[in-house]
Amino acid sequence: MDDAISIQSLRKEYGDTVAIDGLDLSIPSGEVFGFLGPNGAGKSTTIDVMLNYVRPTAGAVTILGYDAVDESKAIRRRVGVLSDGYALYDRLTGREHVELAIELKGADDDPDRLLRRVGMADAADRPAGGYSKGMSQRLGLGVALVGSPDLLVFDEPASGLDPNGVRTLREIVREEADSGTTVFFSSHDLDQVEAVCDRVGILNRGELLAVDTVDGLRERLGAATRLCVDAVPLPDADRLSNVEGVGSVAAEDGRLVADCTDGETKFRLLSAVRESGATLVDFETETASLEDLFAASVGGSDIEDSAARSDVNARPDDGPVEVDA
Amino acid sequence: MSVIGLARKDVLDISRSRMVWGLTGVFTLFSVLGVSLFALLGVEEASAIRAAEAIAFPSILLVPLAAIVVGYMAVVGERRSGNLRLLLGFPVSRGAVVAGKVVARTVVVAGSIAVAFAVAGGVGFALYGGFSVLRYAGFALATVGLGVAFVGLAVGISASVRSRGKALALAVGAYFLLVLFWQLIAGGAYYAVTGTVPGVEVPAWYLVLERLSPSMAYQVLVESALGAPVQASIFSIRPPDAMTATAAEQLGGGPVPVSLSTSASALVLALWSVVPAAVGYWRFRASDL
Repeated sequence: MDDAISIQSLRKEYGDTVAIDGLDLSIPSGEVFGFLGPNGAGKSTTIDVMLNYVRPTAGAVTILGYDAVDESKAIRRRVGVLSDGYALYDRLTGREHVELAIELKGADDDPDRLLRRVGMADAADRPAGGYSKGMSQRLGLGVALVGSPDLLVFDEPASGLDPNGVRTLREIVREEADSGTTVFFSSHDLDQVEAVCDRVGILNRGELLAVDTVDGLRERLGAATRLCVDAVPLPDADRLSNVEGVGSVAAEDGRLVADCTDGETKFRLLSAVRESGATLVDFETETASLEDLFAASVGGSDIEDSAARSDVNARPDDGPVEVDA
Repeated sequence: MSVIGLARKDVLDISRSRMVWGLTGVFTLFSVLGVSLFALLGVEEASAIRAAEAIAFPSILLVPLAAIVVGYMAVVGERRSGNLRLLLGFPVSRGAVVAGKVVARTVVVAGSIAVAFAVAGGVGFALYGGFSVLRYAGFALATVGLGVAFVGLAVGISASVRSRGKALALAVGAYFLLVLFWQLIAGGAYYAVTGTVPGVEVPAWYLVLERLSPSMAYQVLVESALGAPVQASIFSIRPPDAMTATAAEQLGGGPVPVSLSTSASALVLALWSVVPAAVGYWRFRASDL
């Protein structure tokens, strides 16, 4: 079994709500996979099924060759988890958390080394109840690394982290990936995913919209490099749209903004501007970010809706869980 | 293996809770008050055995309460807070989580009882002089048994529900049913069957029914440990004489069946500590966090 994660036709319902609808996903060993989607898309539910926190309604999930329902303990022996909505024990210290993880995983890590690695050495002997969100998240990261897991499952790992913490997180993901660890990195934050992931899957409303490399997604979604040109006098936008390889051209804020499919097109466009008799004042290029792709694939309004929902719901992914509460 | 690790973590966690120390303090205080009551009042028949009996009363009321308070949030509290999402990221089964909780909370409740009994025993010794350490230890052990029964019940409730409110409602209900009103309920059952109120002499089935409650089973064990009748029932509808009568006397002579032996009452406490926890685990086993 080469795939670290194999999800087949996964469906999960909470009462009348369908959280995951026919999800298929395979992630080969050693890959850093970004699981991207707005809040409420079903990312956490997918992870909850992988860890047997919730039972699938239908479908099969295999992690590291083990069945997620029947062999969950074997999975969790080899997986490091930083789940969304987890809480530390307020009355236990950071070190005690790491020691507990070491004991329960039967690992032989040095707690001090792990605590240093996530930047928690100084606060290690204080009760976790006094930690900030960022400190808790750092400790959670350290706990997930106990026992040198073959697979790291991170659900919104950057939440609450300051820029330093985010850098630590990225370093750790890269180091672990270099040592052959598979990383499943779920986030609604595109920058996070773009920075570390080999491949990205976009999930929305329980359905997988696309899986590809970041570059591949860009290509597939037809998103182009954007060229902004400042010239005097400003050439007519319509005339320049005939240039080969140029998608759309428009005048915005006294500048020309053109979508170009590749680098050659940019040169052709700049030449066309000069040939029109205008003097080139300045130009800059923008690479389409994953955010643009993301917005293009899930639809901008959906993201805003979901974001608004997430403000009133502490765990939007699992909103409907409390069906019989 | 992981049960011990989980239990150790849990003991570490809740032994730092002020609530546990508060409960221990209150229980110790009441036990000391109970044991010194006769001496304070200058009652003539003040004796070690009467004093011990005076601890049994606060024990019957407070030990189940303490065990419920210590146990009812054990699983559901961690479920709601998100602690379980951390804990179940480790290679531990849900059965080990529930078992670890029962073990840990039992250790804590037993510790509280040990402190209270040690302090009250010291005070009793100073006031009344010598008494059998063995009998007193048996009394303390029976009290731990009562605590274990309610810890198992409370953890079982905690594992079987999703909300703290539901756990609290069930735990409070269980306390009223088993500690305060059991004899009224048994009496009601007796009335439904026979059309009369139970007197001093009752059929064996009625005594068995009475002793199915952990509180009554505890009383049987305490009487056996102390070798004397203990008056510690609440809200009984039977005549006062029934409280001090032996099982044989209540049956109107004749042999006492095994189901009314001291061992049977010990078994009742053991079942209360195991069966609700097992039911709780069964409900928790396959449920979504």
